[in-house]
Amino acid sequence: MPAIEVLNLEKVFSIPQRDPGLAGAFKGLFQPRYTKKVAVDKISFSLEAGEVVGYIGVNGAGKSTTIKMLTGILSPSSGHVRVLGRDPHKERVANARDIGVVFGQRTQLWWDLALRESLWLVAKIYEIPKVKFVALLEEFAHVLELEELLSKPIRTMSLGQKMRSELAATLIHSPRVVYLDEPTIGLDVLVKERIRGFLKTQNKQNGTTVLLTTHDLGDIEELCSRVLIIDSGKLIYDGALETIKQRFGTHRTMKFELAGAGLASPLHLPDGAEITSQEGSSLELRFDRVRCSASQIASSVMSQLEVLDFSIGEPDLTSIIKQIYAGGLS
Amino acid sequence: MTQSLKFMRFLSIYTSFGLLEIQRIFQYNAWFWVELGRGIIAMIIMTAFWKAIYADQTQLAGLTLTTTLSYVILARALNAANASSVYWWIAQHISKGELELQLLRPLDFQLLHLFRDAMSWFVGLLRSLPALLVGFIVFSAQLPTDFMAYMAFFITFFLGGIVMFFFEFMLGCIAFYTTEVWGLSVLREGIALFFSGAYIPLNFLPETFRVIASATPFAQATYVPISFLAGVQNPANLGNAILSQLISILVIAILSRWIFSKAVQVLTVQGG
Repeated sequence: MPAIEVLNLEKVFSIPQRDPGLAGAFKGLFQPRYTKKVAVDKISFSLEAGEVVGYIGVNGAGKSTTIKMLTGILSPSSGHVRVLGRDPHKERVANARDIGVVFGQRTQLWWDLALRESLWLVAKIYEIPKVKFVALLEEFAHVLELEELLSKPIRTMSLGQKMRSELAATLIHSPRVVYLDEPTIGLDVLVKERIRGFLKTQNKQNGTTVLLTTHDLGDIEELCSRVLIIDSGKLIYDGALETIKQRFGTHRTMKFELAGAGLASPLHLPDGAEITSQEGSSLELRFDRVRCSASQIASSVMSQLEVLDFSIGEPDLTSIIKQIYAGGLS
Repeated sequence: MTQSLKFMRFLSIYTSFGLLEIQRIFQYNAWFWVELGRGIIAMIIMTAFWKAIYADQTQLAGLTLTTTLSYVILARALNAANASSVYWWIAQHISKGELELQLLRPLDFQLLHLFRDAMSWFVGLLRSLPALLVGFIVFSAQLPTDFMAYMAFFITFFLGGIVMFFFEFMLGCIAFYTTEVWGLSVLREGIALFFSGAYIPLNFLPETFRVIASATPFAQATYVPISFLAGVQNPANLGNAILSQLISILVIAILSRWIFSKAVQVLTVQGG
């Protein structure tokens, strides 16, 4: 049985429409108008237990709405959802016992309480035995570097400290399914690295199923082998990250450091290669590796110009996703 | 696991949230002094007002000046000690888009808030003590000598609080549809002003209004307990009062749970 099963899931919101100004507000009192917004448009996918899947899309694409339906907070307008065999909305409390959720910019910890007290309260809610809690607290405090924070109230913490605390609170009851909605938003590189490492370990040790929503493609490359891509509420891709990289990653870049000030005459390049930028002695080219090779381009450029140095750039996920959003899959 | 052990665990979890509320209340102490000052000013005005009303008569609506003064001073001192904040809490969390985080906990949302409010009522009583002392020392209000009057007060105070909680919870559910409840809260305040008995004992209302007012959650939470403590109502009526409150709790609790189950389906999380 899949850990998460989604079939033709749809969420439609009714959004009140108001004309501008006081007159519009007054009119809205007597003639309220609503427009329908399809936030999630009949999507289907499933996650096996222990999978870590990236869920990506631009702002407003429907990622968070999907996660909220999977957690049981929002009820679907139509379609079928099962998380660990349960309907998450109808069995919200039972579902909540087996899941953990992080919403990147919101805290579920108690604002005025010290972290240790907050975590103890979480342990009580999930009925974690005291001995197990103490052991987990020690482990989490070490891995997430929380030792100094345990006696600190949440309201006095920095964003990175809060996020590490949030992760501890989300995973301390060893949930079987975890939804991470932008867990690394606004964090510095070191904190991101620590969080990614922690998530990897949790997945490996406990077989936790993870659905990760992020704009940071570094998170995806580091943690996920499979991605779901959503655009305007529709699921436009469900498959291996590697497949996407191969399909859209045929283009490479080459950077040349030239001896002179730049190009004196037009540069003749093999078919499939083009100049993307040229500033002073720096020249950047983009080429399709199916149509021509790096060595062909290098020899062509070197036969026409004096080259001091050059490098080849691999395609990054950001540029691939840009291509997909621009309609690359259609 | 035995049923009693399960129950103890259940109590322990929900009580923890109640204790958390007490901790939170004590962190914001400035309001205590504001409320005390406001209560004393209200006592001065109301004492002068009722003394003027009773200037040439010994009894009104079956109540002596002493009884009426005791009632209004107690009503002021215990002002909203068993009130519920769930109504504002739900509305604010919905408008900020934070209710989702609360619904992610494997707890009964309504019960959790009932425990929070119930714990705050103990604090409410404690915080009323200075105002009560001022009432009795400065304004000569009288406390009953019958132990049963105190019993009646405490029982109906907590049951009244529960009635009010479920009622406010129902109002809070409106925010799921409207995302704000300010207008409704103004209306609610206006109705509560007359029907709760917080300013005048309900005995002074015309018969029809008195019957209607007595049946409202506002009166169940304010008039009923204070009338026992002020001697307006005989402790022998406790049985009837409890029965009436229990029926109110049963009806409003069932209704509020049903409304919540419907309201939560229309939740639109603000801010995506």
